[in-house]
Amino acid sequence: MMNKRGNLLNVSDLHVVFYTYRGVIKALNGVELWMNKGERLGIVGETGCGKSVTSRAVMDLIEEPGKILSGSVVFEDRDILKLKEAEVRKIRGNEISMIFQEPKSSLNPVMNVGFQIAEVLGKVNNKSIKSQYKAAAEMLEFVGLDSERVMSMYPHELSGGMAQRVMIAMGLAPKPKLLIADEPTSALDVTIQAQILELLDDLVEKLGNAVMMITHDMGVVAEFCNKILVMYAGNSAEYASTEKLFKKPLHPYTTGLLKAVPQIGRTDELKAITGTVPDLVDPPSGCRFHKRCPQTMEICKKERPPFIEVEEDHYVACHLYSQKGGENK
Amino acid sequence: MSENLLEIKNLEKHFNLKKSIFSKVRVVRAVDNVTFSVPKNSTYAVVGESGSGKTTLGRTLLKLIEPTGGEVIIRGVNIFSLSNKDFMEYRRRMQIVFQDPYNSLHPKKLVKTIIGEGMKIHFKGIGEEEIRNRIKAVLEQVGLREEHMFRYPHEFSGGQRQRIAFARAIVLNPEFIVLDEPTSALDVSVQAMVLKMLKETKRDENLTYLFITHDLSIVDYLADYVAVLYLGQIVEKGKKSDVFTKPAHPYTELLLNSNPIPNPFLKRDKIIAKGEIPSPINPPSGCRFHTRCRYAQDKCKLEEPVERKIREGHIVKCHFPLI
Amino acid sequence: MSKTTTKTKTGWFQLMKPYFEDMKHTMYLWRRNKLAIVGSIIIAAFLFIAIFAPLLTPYQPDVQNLSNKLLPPSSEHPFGTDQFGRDIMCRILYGSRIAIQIVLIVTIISGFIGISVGVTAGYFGGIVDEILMRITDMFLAFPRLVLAMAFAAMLGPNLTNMIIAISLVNWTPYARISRAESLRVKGQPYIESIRSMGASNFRIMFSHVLPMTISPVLVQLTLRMGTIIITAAGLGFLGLGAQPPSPEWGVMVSDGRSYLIDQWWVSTFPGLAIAIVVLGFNLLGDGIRDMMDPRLRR
Repeated sequence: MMNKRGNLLNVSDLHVVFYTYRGVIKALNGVELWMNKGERLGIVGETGCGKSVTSRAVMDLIEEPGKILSGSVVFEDRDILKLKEAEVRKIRGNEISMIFQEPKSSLNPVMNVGFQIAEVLGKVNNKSIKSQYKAAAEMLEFVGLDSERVMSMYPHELSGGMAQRVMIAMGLAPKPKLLIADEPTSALDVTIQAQILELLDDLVEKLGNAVMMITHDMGVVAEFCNKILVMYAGNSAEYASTEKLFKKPLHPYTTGLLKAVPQIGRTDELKAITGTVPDLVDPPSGCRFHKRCPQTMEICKKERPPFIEVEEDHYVACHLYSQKGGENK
Repeated sequence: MSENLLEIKNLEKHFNLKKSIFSKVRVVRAVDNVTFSVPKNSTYAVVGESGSGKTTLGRTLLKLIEPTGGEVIIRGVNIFSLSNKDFMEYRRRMQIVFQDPYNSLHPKKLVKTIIGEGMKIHFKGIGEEEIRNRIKAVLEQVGLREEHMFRYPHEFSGGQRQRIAFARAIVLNPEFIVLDEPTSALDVSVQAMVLKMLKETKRDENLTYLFITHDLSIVDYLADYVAVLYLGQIVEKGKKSDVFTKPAHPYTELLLNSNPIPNPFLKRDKIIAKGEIPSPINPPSGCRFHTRCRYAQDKCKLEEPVERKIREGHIVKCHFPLI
Repeated sequence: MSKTTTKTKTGWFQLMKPYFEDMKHTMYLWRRNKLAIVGSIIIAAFLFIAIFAPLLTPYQPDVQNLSNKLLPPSSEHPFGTDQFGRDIMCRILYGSRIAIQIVLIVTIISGFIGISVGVTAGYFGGIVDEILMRITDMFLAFPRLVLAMAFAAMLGPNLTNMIIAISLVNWTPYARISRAESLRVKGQPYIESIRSMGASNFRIMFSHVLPMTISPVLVQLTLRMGTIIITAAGLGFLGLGAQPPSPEWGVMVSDGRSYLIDQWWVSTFPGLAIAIVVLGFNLLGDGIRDMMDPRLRR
């Protein structure tokens, strides 16, 4: 059952597993997600929620021991999961590109910065790498680096902030329609994080591309994103605009999360969510959050709640709002 | 105001870097002339980013790293001048909890051994049963159960491991605990639980904390006092309420502003500093912050600023403080 | 997540658990590695033979029967007889016991020396490390077999001295590895923690650092077992180890030298035994090394 909610990307009923010596990890359990052109979607969640796996699945980058069992990833009008590898490669690094958390590990350590950006441009424009050096230098200036100095530097010579700028340059060089940023600032100092987020904000405004930002930091998502998807243990839990989500969270997990985040100037006491994130080899039945939920009902143990629209453009997967749940109240 | 438990005076840790026998010796002033006092039963936060020296500071206090200068005075005694034997008593009273939950507990030892070993070292002649009872008590205090002592660290989640690490710290009845970014590696909801546990235990056991972190929201939640470190020096220190509401140092102002607020309705003007954080191997001349300071003037490049008193207990190191 | 346990005493099973956890993962990777399985089968057979040798042959290894000398392989003597009429298969079976003895004792002694040197060097660093590593280098500077020969010749040719000689040349890789592990481990927070408690260096090295070196050293120990057998066979062949009439395989090969052309079985079968067992250890070792490869995904 495919949804057509977004005009750029539609992920429906995505199931991904990983085969390990401990057993089968049911990492994604029917994830639903969608994006419109130019939107900034923040995917938040804690360890094991599946946010990184989802981003990899969108680019069809799930490798052994992982496997996409079912579901669809429709980018504009094509289902990426059904395309041949050669066709997917045309999209990757071109229409959809990605930047990662540890920029220094994601850059090739034996090639200098100029070469790596030129390589990306060469692939995109179908020209030789040599011909792209000028454009590469321009890209470096675009991200606020001194191209004369940086073009010939190697990744290990760069600071964290500089390396991340290079990553952003490589990510935006192909002028993608969608940029996936997987915890792009988690490894950076807070003042550098502010710089990078500001840069990203600026560039994305100019280029008009959509951004899927994966993070665990509620502050980053509040400042950068206009839509938020909260994930829990392999499922989509709640989706709404940033302001709606913070003002009126519907899912008990979202509420719990917001109550647990410290904030400067906050006067009420922090509230922790009891219990721990479940083991995905043997996840809880029904709603995977039911064991930790303060409002759990009988049906929550039995059936997984559907991800439905409760208010305008505000979706929740929770029996408090589902039809069946309503009947049981 | 209560008396001070610890008085740290001119603490210094310099590292000598030498690439080979032939290259010149370069000195990294990781902790450079740091002075502050920690009142009894308070939580004193030390904040800073990479290169600030905050981690080195925590370890130097406990002599895990040998200091190259300065004193740490507890009840009139400079503990750095003590012999190894005399220092043992202070080792018991001063404990540390580390940042990495996955590497701070010995992977091949039972939780029982991990928590109990300290007792065997410090309470010579203590009986097995008493050790067991103490471990049971302390596990329950951190929200775990007696049977957990018979398990291995890998059987626990990150948050639980930090609780075990904390249990290890309090089992010896210390008076002072250095907490080195204890929640940085944890999920948000787990962090909340650990922070609450820290707060409650401090109250119940009359502890004093030195809390090292880069996260100002946590400082706001837990700390009574705060010292802001930049490239090995304290640039501002004082009561948290004073420093946070009216920061005197441009770097403090920058830190507070950079901290992302989980509230989309609060729109603020962002202060974006220029450039990278300098390396502590080659710090800028004069005021070390001048390369990124938006108020920097010529004097800042040439002269190192002296400490100025804003009010009682609130000190700033700047030529042109903001207040 | 984990099952709750109501045990209040710690049995040895519980104490060995972290090593078992390592093994569970190892077993998983094992099943995917054919060569390791072949190696294990060979070694298992080797162990079986060593343990049950007397039950597997009706003959005695040292009983001479000159009327049966130099008989070719037949149903009565599957591997033929040697120049003293002794059944060769029987001697190979009994020889396996000697081989096992050698492997085990050498491994234990050289393991002990190597780990002690390595952990001490790695933990203390500085001048201690320098001295210990130079000593290690000195031992490494000589070709192993030559050095073993020198020791064996010095001490006098017999089985015990041969074991000592091989032990003295075999410990160096264990020192290297345990030193490397030591260096890696000593900076970890769990070591910092016990240091901050004021534990003595000895306690830290023995009780905290050493357990962490066991897994990687174990791999090396297995990898070297084949080498130990070859070295022992070599020394035996040269007359520097076990002496005749011992059924040590190297000695047996040497015994058959004069008969190589017409009575080839006297040297060949013991030679094959050596080759197969060494192959078994090598396959096993390679399999273990592949499994320990961190790039292998779980």
